[in-house]
Amino acid sequence: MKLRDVEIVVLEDRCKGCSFCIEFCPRDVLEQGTKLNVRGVHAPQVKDAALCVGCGVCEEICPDFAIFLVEKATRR
Amino acid sequence: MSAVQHPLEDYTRSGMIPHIWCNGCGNGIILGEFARAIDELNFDRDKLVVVSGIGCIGRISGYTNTDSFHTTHGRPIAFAVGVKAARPDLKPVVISGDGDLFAIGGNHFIHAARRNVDIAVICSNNFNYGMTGGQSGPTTPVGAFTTTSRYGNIEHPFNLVHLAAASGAIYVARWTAIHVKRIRESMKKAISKKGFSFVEIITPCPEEYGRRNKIADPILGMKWLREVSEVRSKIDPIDAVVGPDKIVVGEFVDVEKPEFSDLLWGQNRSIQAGLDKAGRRTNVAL
Amino acid sequence: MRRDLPRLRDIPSREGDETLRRDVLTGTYFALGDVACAEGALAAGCRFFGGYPITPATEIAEHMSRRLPEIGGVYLQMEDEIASMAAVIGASYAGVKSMTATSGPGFSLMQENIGLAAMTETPCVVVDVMRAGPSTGQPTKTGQQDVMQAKWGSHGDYEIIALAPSSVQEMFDLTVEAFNLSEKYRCPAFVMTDEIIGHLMERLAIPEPEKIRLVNRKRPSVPRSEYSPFRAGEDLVPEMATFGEGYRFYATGLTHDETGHPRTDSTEHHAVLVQRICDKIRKNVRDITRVESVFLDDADVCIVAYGSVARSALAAVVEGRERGIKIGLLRLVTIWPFPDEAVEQAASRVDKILVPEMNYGQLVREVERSAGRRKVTSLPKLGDALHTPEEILAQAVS
Repeated sequence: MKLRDVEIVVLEDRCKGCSFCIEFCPRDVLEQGTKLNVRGVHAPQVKDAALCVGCGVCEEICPDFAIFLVEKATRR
Repeated sequence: MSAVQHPLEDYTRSGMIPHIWCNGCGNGIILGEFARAIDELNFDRDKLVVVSGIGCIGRISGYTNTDSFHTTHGRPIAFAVGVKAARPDLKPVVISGDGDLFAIGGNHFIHAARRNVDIAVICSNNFNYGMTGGQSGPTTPVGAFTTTSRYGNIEHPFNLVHLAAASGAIYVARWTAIHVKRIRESMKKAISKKGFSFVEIITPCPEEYGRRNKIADPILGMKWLREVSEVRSKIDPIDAVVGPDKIVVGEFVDVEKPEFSDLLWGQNRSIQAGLDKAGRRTNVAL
Repeated sequence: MRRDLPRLRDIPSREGDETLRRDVLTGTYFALGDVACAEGALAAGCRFFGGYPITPATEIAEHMSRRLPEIGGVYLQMEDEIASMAAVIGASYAGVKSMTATSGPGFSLMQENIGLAAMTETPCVVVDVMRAGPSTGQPTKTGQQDVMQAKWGSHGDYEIIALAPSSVQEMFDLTVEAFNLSEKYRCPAFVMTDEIIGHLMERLAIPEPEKIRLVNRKRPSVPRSEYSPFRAGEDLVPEMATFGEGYRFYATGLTHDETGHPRTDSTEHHAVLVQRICDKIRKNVRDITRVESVFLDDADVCIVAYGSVARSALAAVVEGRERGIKIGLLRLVTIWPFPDEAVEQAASRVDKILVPEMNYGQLVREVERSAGRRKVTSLPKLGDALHTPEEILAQAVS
């Protein structure tokens, strides 16, 4: 059951690689990405989008405004 | 990948994000929650004045898209008191660090709290002086290692919640960086209440404090906060301790009290009314 | 006769006067120097005083605490002088003309924030009623020992404006001028007086409000989206926005660019900023400075004096002329920026310059710089005693 139907947006070059989003996501949706960003760290990527319930912890716990959720309805 | 903007983008100054704070520093969380708090409150942003002092968190006034001012070390509260007294229509929000607010700035804190000046004070407490390389400060835990307590800190730290409550603050809360939603709710209260409000946020400092005290890894720093935090709202502030294996968090004071600028301007108005009534020009006597 | 002049107290209203102002108490009085200074501030539009009691400036605070509430202003007694200066800067940025008043020990405490005011180009007035120092010194005795500190008290390169009243009337007039100059040049302006003038009672004439010229800071002339808080034109003085009007500007004591953002990395930005905040004063020395010359046209000896010492110097010059001595006085009304041109000009026409000061030789160094050391003699006097006219004259002719 989803809280919100959202898409996860990562602003890769803002990420400093703290991994809070990956660690504290209650559904284990994210994992470390494969490519290095401009800072030389791996920004997160979505491991399994279907698991995401739209709780927003990743967006709130990120200290760097690098990850946020967008309602799928608005994206269309 | 997308041209979609971060939902809080407008609350930050254009071109200033990414900020300078280290990987895993809690200050970014404080910035984000502050933005969310004023967004949710629908607070008139142009009535806010963000004032900060010297320290890592002191840079926050350069990131918030509000009127803001970055003072000398220890003085944001004194500056904010001047702003509030001169312009009671404005709401100063002081966001500064443990050293800035409680070492060099301690005197200004207790007097502004005593007077119940309508300012919100948000303290990022990372147990050391991060900006200058990790020296000890008035909140450094006993036994902790810093660049100026190389053999282990021998000094008792402040219990900031107790200090704020004893000084007369009408709202006192403590959370840690992991308590994102609680931080936001406390910030909302601190900004909305008319009087001196204090929110302490214990944050990790991976590069300085963390590195010297076995919590260098950002995730370890956050997990440690989660592990040692205990929510005990409404207990006596003197018991809201911060120790090596326990951090008591919660809301500890939430009262109302006549506010300084109301009292000041109220008295001004009655003085003027009195002179008008008596038909006098001034009431001066040498 | 002085006995006929009303004291500045219980001023009744004229009957039927609907538009009576409480901020400008037009009239002639027998007033205390400190009180005249306070009334000058109010007449200049000052509506915020943030301070801390200290002898011999306390009377300014006390008078302001009575008068400001009457006219819709704020008297704020802060916990110390450091907080006072911080609050003054806050109130100024909140759009209110602000001041503080202190003496030596408090002046020392204020220095760091004076630097902040200079760096953030905050209009504000600081009155220093000087007493005998250093340190606690002699709190109730006079001195002129802080005059160098006014210019150099905070760290770093910056310029300020400082005026030196010689009478109770000038305590009023020069405080108004200090506010005007600080608003025009967006810098801290100082009224450097001393305990003698501060605690002197003399005739004070407060003019009608229309006769008092006031200057206000330049407000933004561009829309909010185009405003840069530290961008300046040819006059080197930026337009100043006020908190609460939607400009959302940022000011910091760190080296910054025109947008206000820190540029702690850039040598060029640092040079540009420091030079501009200094040059806005240095390039306008003629506009800012005032001196008063008495009997200088044919003088062989010139006394250069300021503050209460200038009163004795004037008496010495009058006495000297009566004895046929070709002596004149150059009174420095502005002491910073130092009126080097005026001193240089006077020096070129005389053989000797005497600089009496109630300190161990401070402003005399500036006089030497402008006039040459050979021509200049210092006449220091320490201890709560004004130079007598006889002392000055004797040294002038020796």
